[in-house]
Amino acid sequence: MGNRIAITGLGIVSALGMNVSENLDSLKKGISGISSLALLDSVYKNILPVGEIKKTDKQLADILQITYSEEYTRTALLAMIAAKEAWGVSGNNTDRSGIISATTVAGMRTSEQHYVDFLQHKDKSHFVETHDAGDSTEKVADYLGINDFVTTISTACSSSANSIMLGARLLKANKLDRVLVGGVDALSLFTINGFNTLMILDKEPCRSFDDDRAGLNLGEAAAFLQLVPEDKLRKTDHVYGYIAAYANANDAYHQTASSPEGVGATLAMQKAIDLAGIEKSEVDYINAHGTATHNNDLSEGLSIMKVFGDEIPAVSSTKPFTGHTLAAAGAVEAVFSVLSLQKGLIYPNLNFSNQMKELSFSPVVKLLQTNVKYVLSNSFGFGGNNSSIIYSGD
Amino acid sequence: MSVYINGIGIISPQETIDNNKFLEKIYPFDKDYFKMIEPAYKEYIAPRDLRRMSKILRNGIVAGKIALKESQLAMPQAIITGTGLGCAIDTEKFLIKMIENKEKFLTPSSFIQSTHNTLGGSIAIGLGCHEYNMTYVHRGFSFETALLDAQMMMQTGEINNALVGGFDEMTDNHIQLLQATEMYKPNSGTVAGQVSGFFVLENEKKSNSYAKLLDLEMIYKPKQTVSTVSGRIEKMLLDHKINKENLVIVMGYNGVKAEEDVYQSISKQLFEHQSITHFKHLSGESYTASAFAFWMAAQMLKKQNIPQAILYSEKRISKIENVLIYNQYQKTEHSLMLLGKC
Repeated sequence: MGNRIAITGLGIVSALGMNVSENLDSLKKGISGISSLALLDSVYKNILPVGEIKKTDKQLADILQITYSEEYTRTALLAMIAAKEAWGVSGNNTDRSGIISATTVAGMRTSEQHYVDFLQHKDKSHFVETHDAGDSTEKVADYLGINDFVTTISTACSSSANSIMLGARLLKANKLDRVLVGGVDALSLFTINGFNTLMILDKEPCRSFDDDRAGLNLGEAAAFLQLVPEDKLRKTDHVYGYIAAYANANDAYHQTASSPEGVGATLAMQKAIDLAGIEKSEVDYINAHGTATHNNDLSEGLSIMKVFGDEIPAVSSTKPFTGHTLAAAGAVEAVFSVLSLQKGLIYPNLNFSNQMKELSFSPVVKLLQTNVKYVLSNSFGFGGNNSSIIYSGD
Repeated sequence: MSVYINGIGIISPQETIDNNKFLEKIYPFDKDYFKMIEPAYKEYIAPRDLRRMSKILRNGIVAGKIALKESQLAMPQAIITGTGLGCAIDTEKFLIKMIENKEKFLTPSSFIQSTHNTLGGSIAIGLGCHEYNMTYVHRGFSFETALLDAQMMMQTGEINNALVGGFDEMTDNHIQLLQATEMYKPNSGTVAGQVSGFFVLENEKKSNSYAKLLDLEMIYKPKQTVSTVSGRIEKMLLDHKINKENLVIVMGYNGVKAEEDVYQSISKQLFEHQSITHFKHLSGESYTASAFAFWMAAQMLKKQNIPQAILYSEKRISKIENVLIYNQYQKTEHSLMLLGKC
């Protein structure tokens, strides 16, 4: 197997809770985090449900025990909380440590509030320093004292799956000894309105893989994983699981839509299975991208059928729990996948009632307790970016 | 295994689109920031597609096409881009409309084109390329991480070639925001610019190769900047057994005193006998300005020529064997790139 990449830390903050155990608890109880928007003033407040974290920026700063100031965007604060949990104490005193984060709209939540003033020639400089994608990553890096490698990825909704990939590659190339990988996105008017213009937001809680699905719910989250190559594990490290394989392919079809037959998705899943050196029948659970848009679930569903044929493993989307957390989604679902391996759980696909006509399978609807050895997690995004990662228990 | 630069396409505030020319005529910036010298898009992109494309997409697609054509690579095994701000114009367009219309009556086109990976995705669609596709967005490390990723993937045998690009655009609004900060303050600060540079990297040398990428390092917020960076430079030169007699230096001089002091100190400490060149007076400052420096280094090595316009301090050199680029963004992201003659 060569030098495997071990997962030695997990951290998450989402609409399901402020840490790993709160998230796991909600997953087990089948309690969704989808609700009405409360902390952002939008005309869609009572129209479009979201996966919102019910803490103000000030409350987030308090959790971190830092003095709240405008220097910290909501994006940075969320990232810092999840990163701190994943890095724990074991991350300290590492020879060469790095961080790879991911975000799509970065500091937009703050920028869009101040841009009004800017357009009216009032205050000008306020937000330019926290607007770009690198800001929240550097805030985390400085907070945790990680400085040997710092970078950020943005491949739309597949972003943090790609951070996990780059992290693993850096460790395999022996450029680092330990790396924190993940992603973050805060809810913003920009994304709510952007997705709304595409007419892919459901006014009800989203129904992934349902024949009557009507679009996605946006969510906000941050999630990180700590990765260490097996030969550099320390006695104090707790191993949650391993990264068995990963693949990144492009659909090369349309800027925002997936190809009807899911070319990129099929390639990514097939390649990941091949690289893991396992039989497809060994995959116990697919944590699907499953956004609940008409286009994604059809295209992803068909590509799962193409790859797995008659032996389709348990499939569910956890987006009805968290909402679609954009750049954070890949890492959020990585944390869920690792917990699935650890606890032997397969999560229910909430809100499902009608079998999709085009598919030969339907998602898992009740929490299953079973032996889980391999989980395949899909993350797809605008720009045709398709990433699949396989996590293994041992 | 070495990584060779086998094709280049770069659009910038200078006449860089023709790879046979090398800064023969210089264009200064005219107002607020450096604007791109735009190519004749119609020669590269069908009119039907051109209408729907923002400027940043047009420039990136043209630059990518030129690089691929020059290297005679029809289908890259990876498309890896780096950008600090991404599609800034479309992001701003959507943002302003949303604010002005109070979230009503919006259309999706600028939102669709606002993501950082729009260009990487568009190039893939144009080529029908289903391979690895990645976009790095970390300030002064954006282009560097893209290069590093390509280099690592070639070293591990995952790929044999890649199309790697660095791109950024400036907008009339964004420059106003920047000019309110110390770094871009008119007269005392630096001048913003924009570049879209694409490079075909391959693991084999070809007759038209420009140069080899020997090494690449990113240094984040070094504690003692001068001693840390100079230490890393010395180690890099030693690792690759570089003869300093045939070495040319590129540094990111940008008019900001605190940054220039670092370049000065390191030059004094390590490169008293080397020619020092600079580039931001031609490209302007941006998160991906180093793509311009990378092009310059490749051209110097291939053409064995240092144009007058880029000389910061000149020393006699008989043969250019290596070029070292040292760049920084706002004292935070420091990068070293070492190139060698083929």
